Amino acid sequence: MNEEFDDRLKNRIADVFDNYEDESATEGWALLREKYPEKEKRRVLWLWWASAAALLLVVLSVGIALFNRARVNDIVRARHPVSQPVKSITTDTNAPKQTTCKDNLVADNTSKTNNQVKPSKDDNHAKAPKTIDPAIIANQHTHLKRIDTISNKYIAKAAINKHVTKIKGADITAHQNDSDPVNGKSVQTITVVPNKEQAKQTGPKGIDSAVLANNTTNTKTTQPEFVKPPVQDIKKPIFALLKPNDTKPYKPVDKKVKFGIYAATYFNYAKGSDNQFNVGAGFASEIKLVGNLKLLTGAVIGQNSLKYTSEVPQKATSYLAASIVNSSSSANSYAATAPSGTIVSSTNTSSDPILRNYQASLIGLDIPINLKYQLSKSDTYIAAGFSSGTYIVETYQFAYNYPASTGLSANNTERNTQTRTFLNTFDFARTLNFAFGMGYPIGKTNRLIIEPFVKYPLNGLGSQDLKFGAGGINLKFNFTPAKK
Amino acid sequence: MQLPPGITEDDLIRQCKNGDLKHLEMLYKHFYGYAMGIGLRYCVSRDDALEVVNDSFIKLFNSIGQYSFDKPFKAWLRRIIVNTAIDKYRKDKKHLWNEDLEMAEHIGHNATVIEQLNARDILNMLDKLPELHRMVFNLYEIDGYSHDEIANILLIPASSSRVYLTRGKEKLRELINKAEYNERRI
Repeated sequence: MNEEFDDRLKNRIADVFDNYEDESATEGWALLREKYPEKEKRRVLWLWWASAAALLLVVLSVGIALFNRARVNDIVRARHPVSQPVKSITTDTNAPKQTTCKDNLVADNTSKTNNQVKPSKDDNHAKAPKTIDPAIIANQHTHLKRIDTISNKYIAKAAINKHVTKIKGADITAHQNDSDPVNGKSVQTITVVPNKEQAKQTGPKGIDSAVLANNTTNTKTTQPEFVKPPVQDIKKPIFALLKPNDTKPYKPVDKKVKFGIYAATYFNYAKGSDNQFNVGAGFASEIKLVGNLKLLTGAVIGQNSLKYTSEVPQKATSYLAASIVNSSSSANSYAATAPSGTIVSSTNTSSDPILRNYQASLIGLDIPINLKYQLSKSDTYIAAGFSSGTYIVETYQFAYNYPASTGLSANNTERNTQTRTFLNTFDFARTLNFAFGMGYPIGKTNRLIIEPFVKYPLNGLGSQDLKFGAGGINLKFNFTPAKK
Repeated sequence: MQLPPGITEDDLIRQCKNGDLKHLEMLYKHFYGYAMGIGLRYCVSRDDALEVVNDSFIKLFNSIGQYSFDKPFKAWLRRIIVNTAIDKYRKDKKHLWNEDLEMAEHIGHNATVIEQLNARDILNMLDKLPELHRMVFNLYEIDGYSHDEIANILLIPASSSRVYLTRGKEKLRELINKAEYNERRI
């Protein structure tokens, strides 16, 4: 009995739902359309943007890796001077002995010497006699022997560094150690000492007196002293300290010309158009003018798209009408279907097509010329200027129908697409630019800059004179060309 | 929705294979009621059913190019919807067990009650079943799956599928008898 009941119930359910009717199909379709079809255009844009970001990251990563590698090599060389190439010299022809000269020590000494030639007010280090590495001096149980005869030629051969030329005329002293702490051999260390003229210039606290005082008194120091880094060095950024041979005082890099690449994401805006998300990419250069004022220029290729739905520009109707008239096939069909007496003109008459929807897509080449004012020593700045440019591809799409009075079908929406390619127009200084930038250092010379910007149209742009602007963010990677 | 005169279901499907959105919309609206009938049987709410139906149609649109006319289209659509409903069930894992129903005082099998059941009555009854019982009942009794298939689909033992089906049917009987009892009292 139950089985019979179940069968009847099953059949009833199947029957009811196989012929089920539901009135909400239209709402269901509207919901489905939110998911289907997937918006290919948006996906392509995101791919494009993701690719640009990935490329930028790769460039940054490689740059930072190379930069760090170079610095690490410098540190290794500085910390292991014994392992550096050793140049043997002969100082006594009668009893030739193998003496060694460590490039780094000499470089250190020359570096200190240079630092002391121009002592500054805050350079406490210059006042103390510890300016020559005390480790070197302490290891010398020593008789000091002047070796004025060692010429610049030797120094050049030893490939010490180019800064040696700056201490031309200085006395070079050789310190012969009893033994090399590492090799157990006799070691002669060269110390560069300014001559008397330089000593006079630098005063009694100069290197000469410091070294001589140390050496002539035969101070026997067995433990190397801890040397407090000079105040000047503390103020330097870490990467400036990493280079032991760098004798120049640190100065922030401020080249005359800098270059950069950037990716832009922005929204196009125009009266009557929906805001459209777009992207662009390009390069920029920065030329120093005076003080904190710089000239920014470059070129960027970017997409601009507009979708007029609420208010179609008046000019667009004229362009459409002109297009229909100019197009022979369209004109013929229009003339054939138009009622007698209809005047087809580019002016807005009652027989002109009524634009329902108007879309423009322009791939433009933008050339901005902006003045940049650095707000402080930081990387914050404001910029303003004008943009000129041309368009590589311009596509305009019209959706329209005719007024009922023309006798043409008012219900049928017709479409017209116009495409123009490469350099049809050149818009000179038709966009006003404002930008605000914040920079972040990447390495010694490179900067990552986030730059919000606004572009305000001063006049119509493109071949159909559309007045549109843009607002968004530039992500810039600025780099300074290497000094040759 | 009725198809426009002169257009058969096969014609419509052929047009849809070209990816024409207008014809896809027509296909959707034509089979919407049928699809919702299946979705509603499997889902606890109308919103869930609509989600299942729309996801099923998206799958169908994406693979309609592979559809072969030697199979009945409705059966293909039904299969897609049932699979999508099961996927949703697995995803949500809502094992909301309803309270046991009170035993009806009178047990009888009045044919008129069953024949008078409409879609809403049936859905109300199905809503009172635990979700797993409902799923097994639909799969076995209405859509013709075997207990082994159900066991594979729902990742339960086949014996459990049989138990759930028996309990589900018992509860439906009780509900109908209760309805019959109430009708008699009126």
